[in-house]
Amino acid sequence: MDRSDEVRAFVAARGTALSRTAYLLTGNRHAAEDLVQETYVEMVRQWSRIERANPEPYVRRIMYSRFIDGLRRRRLIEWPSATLVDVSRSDDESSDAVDRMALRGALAQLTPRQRAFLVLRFYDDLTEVQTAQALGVSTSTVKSQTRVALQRLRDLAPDVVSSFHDVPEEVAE
Amino acid sequence: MSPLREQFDIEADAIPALGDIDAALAQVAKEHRTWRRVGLAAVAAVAAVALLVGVRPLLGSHNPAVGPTTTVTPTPTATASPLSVGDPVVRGDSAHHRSYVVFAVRNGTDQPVVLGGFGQESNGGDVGLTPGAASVNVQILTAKAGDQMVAAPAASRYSIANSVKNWFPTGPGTLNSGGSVALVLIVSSPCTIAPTPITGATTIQVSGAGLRQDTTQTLVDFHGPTPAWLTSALRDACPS
Repeated sequence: MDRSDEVRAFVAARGTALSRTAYLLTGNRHAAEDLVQETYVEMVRQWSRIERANPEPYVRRIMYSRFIDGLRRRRLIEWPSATLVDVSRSDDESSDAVDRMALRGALAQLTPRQRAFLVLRFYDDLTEVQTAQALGVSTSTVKSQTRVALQRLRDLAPDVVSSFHDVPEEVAE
Repeated sequence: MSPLREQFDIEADAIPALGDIDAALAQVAKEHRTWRRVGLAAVAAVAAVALLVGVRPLLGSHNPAVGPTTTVTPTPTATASPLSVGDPVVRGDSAHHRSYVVFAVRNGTDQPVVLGGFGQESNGGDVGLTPGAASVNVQILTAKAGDQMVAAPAASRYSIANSVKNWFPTGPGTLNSGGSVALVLIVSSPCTIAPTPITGATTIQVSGAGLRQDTTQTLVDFHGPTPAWLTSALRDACPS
């Protein structure tokens, strides 16, 4: 299996998961597609250095790095707005659906950086240390920014976020 | 599952696989091709520049600190046998395959002129360079097949030697084992013979506007005895 075949096989297996993380990071499908494509290009460039047995952590680090670079360049990421993110879903009148809509709206109003902390911590399940390494910040920054992001969610959607139980105490406090 | 994680899952579940891995592979392949072209162009440019201007610092300035240089003092003894000091080209086994290209930089000019050569062009024709000498300093760079450049001479000479090394691509017409290749540069006074091993190979490509014939000539598969014109040229180059 040559490099192209290996890369294609990896993308076939993990491309969707990577794309979903990219979407959550960017909050925008077009920006997510750009981020994924940049990640793929960099992944192909570095494939010889990537551990073949388990390339995903390395590829994810590439994605996080590109995402942070994009934040710094202020071009990759759409800045938050009051509008909801672009996800098509049928409206549901149930309270769960209302809660989800409220949370979605609140997440859309976080800054990309705040959103990234939450995505890495609560979607990709990275530890604080791993999140700090991925985003190029200190662990204390991860703690403080995660706390700020959660507080902002509480402010924006108090009825929903008050029920969060998965926030570690050191972050929630 | 927490509401936050659930919300992330709900949002993300609507997202299909994004990106185009084939496009990424194609882009990287294109980058590699571009870099190869840039690299080749850079090598060619360096070789051309070194050929055209690299010998200029040698004009009128003999620096004994550069490389394994042996100076042939233009004494009557040296004149009688100007190639007897540190010159494997002339003293070597005539059965060895050899090549010689003599460049001359006329005093006051920048562009080297090929004054003579021995061997064949890549198209099989004779080199057809006219022997002759217009200056008085001799630099001889020699190499055997498989040799590595071991000296790090002064910048000017290094660039020349390096350029010559770059002119010796691997490929057809491999230099026979044990053979040697020499680049003879005739520049200005004083006479210096500097054997400088370079990577052995078979092709010398000569580029430059100063060439008498084509702007680019490739000399390949040199062999045969030391040509009389070289001895003559060297003697002319190192007058008493």
